[in-house]
This record gives sequence, C-alpha cells and structure tokens, in this order.
Amino acid sequence: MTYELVEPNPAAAPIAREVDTYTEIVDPDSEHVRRWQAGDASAFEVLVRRHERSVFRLALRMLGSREEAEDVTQEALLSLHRHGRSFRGESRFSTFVYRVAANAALNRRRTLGRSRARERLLAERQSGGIDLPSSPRDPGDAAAGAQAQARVHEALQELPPDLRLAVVLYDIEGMPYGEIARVLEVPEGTVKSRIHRARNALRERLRSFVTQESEGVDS
Amino acid sequence: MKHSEIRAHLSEYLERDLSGEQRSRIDAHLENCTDCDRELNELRATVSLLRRLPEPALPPGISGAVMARIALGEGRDARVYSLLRRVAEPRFAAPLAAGLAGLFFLFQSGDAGRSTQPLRAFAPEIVARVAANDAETPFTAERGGFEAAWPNSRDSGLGSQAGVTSGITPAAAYQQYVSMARREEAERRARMQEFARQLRGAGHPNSASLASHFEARPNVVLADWLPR
Repeated sequence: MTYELVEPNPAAAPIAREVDTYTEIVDPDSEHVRRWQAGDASAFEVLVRRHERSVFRLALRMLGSREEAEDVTQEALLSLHRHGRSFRGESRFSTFVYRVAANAALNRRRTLGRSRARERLLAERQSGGIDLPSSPRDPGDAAAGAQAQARVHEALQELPPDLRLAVVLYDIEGMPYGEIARVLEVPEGTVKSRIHRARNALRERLRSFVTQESEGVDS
Repeated sequence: MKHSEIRAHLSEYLERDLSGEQRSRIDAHLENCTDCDRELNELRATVSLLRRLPEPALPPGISGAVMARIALGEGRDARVYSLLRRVAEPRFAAPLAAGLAGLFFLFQSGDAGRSTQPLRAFAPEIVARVAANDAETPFTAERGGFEAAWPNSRDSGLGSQAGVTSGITPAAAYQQYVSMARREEAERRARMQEFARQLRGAGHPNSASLASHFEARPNVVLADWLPR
C-alpha cells in the first residue's frame, strides 16, 4: 500500500491519501470478512470495532447531530450485518462499509426532512451562540477557531446531500476519487465535479473565515 | 482561456490533477488575473478549514450495543427489523410489549400449559353457570352439558385431564380450573421474569421499557378466567 501527499500547499493541511490502486493491494479486512462469512461472529465484532469510528465520523458530518449520528452508526453496522454476507470482494470491504454508511445517513436525512433540519439549526444558533460575528479579530485565537469549526460544520449541513457526501469523503475522510466513485456508484468525473461544486458552495458560505484564512496564507 | 474555464478547474489544479499543459495555461492566466488568483486562494483556504475539523469523539458503547442488538436478532432480516424499529418507537412501545406478551404466552402455552390450554374454551360456560347461581347442577349430556357441548372432549381425554366429567358440578370444575390456572400462572410468571431479566441486559434502547412492562404485568391468565 502506498501513500502520497496530495496537498502541496502548506496552508491547507496535507492529507495522506491512499493512492487508488485497489487491484494491487490486499484488503486488510479480507481475513475477518472470510471468517465472519464462514460463521465466526467474533470476526464481525472485530470489523465493527475497526470501522465504527469512520462510520460515526461520516454520519456526524452528514447529519450534524451527534445523537442522530450515533443512532445511524448503529443502524449502518446492523445493516452491514444483514447485507454483508453477500459481499463478494469486488471492492475493498471499507468501501462497502462507507457505501452502507452513506446510504444509512442519506436515508435518515430524508426521514428527518429539510424543514426539521432547518429548525434544529435555528435552535442551535439561538442556544449555542453559533451566530457568528462577521469577522473574528484573531484567527489564531482558540475561541475564534472553535467558532470557525462550528460554522464549517453548519455550512456542511447546508449543502445538498450529494455534494456534501462527496466533499466529506474526499476532504475529510481522505478517500481517493476512484474509491468515492465506487461508494457513490457514479463516474469519477462526477465525483470531481461534485467536490469542486461543494468547495465553491462552502467558500461562499464561509466567506469571512475564508478571506481571513487566505489573507493569512498570503501574508 | 476564459475565466469560467479556469475557475472550473481550480480544484483539480489544487490537487495537481491536471496535465502539464493544462497546468501551464492556468499558471499563465493566474499571473495576470487577480480575481481568479483570489478565488484559488479562497478555495485553498476552504479546503484548509475543512481538513482542520477536529476528529469527533466516538460515543462509548456503539460496538457493544450493535453486538447486543444482533444477539437479539435485529441483524437478521432488514424488512422485519425495519418494521420492528418503527413500532418500537416510544409511542408504540406499550402496544408492542402487549403484543410480545401475547406471543410469549401463546408459545409458552404450547408446552407447559398443555394440560389447561384446551380447557380455556370451557371457561365461559362454567363461569356463566357460576354467575347464574347454577353452580351445583352437575354437567349432563341431557342438559347440553360438557360432553354435548364438546363432543371431542371424551376422545381427547381433555375433560378427564381437568377432572371434568358429566357428573362434576360447575362449582367443582371452576375450582379445578382456577387451581390449575394459578399453578400455570406461577410457572409463566417465573419464565416472564427471566425473559424480562434477559431483555433488560440486552442493551437495546427500548430494553428497559419493555422489561418493566413484563415485570409489572398482572395475572394475565387469571384475568381471562375469573368472573368479572
């Protein structure tokens, strides 16, 4: 397995992204998947522990609420148990896990409905003080950093689900284009397009932070 | 190249995902276009903000809860579980528990309750006689009694199992039924407590409410038997 740094600019945190050479690598989960499919329940528990963190992270970025994310994580892992026996290794098991998790999160999102999500965001703004000033004075300040993170978190929730999923998988999960294409079951070109559109939409929504960040980079 | 063409490829430019020629053309454009250059920097800053999001803390117990739910059978069939999840919402928890209790008793009665379960069909007649102060008149075929009402009872031996024959009075039969039902109830209550104990330890979000429903259940069997 090989890795490369895909972000050459030090201003953006470099992310170690696995080079998309699936056909040449060994799936680290294959042995446990084989044992589980042969009836070893303890092997599934190992797989759950290995992937629960990434499933939760994806669910949280997709849904915005820890409570919902925890619930969806459990649902996704149960769904994995129901459908995983039919997994035949056409892709990496982790890709399969991400696909199940993404579907679970999207289904929950649809269930929650757009109006309920808006209500929740509004309530969070009112109770949590996420209604930010237009321009924090010191971007290095911890409080301002926390505000920026809260605003990024919120801005992600405002994206359409297909754009959000693509940018979360690429920029936060660090997956290569090819693997994202397999998770979303769309061509790589579509993945790239969605990532770019998502970044642009976030850039607009995070205008004040982005301006400060880019000025900090320039200076 | 037009500004829009340049801007459409800025993410790929950041990722070094362009050919040398494409990259050179964009470099040349950026040298002379402050707007596109600003947009590139803003895009880079956006990516930087995204990648600096902190790793969220994993809530404890997710894997344990998942394995417990699988042990309870939730990991087996997507359609059945989806239905169960829907009805296991708090507003449906009590009816669900009642339904489960019904199923529980139904299945249990096929085993330990074998001696009294078929006789429940006789209860309304006996209870009606007791309530009508006709408890001392023995059942007889002439009066449309036990064997006449239930012609298969003699062949199956059900009547003799419960001590009910043509000569027995409804009062005696009633006492017999109540005695048997109480014994059956005690046995079922013990099984129910064990079931509730297992439910409570299962880790499912609805386990506690379901378990308390079973633990607090009154005399389900006797309630069907005793005169109201």
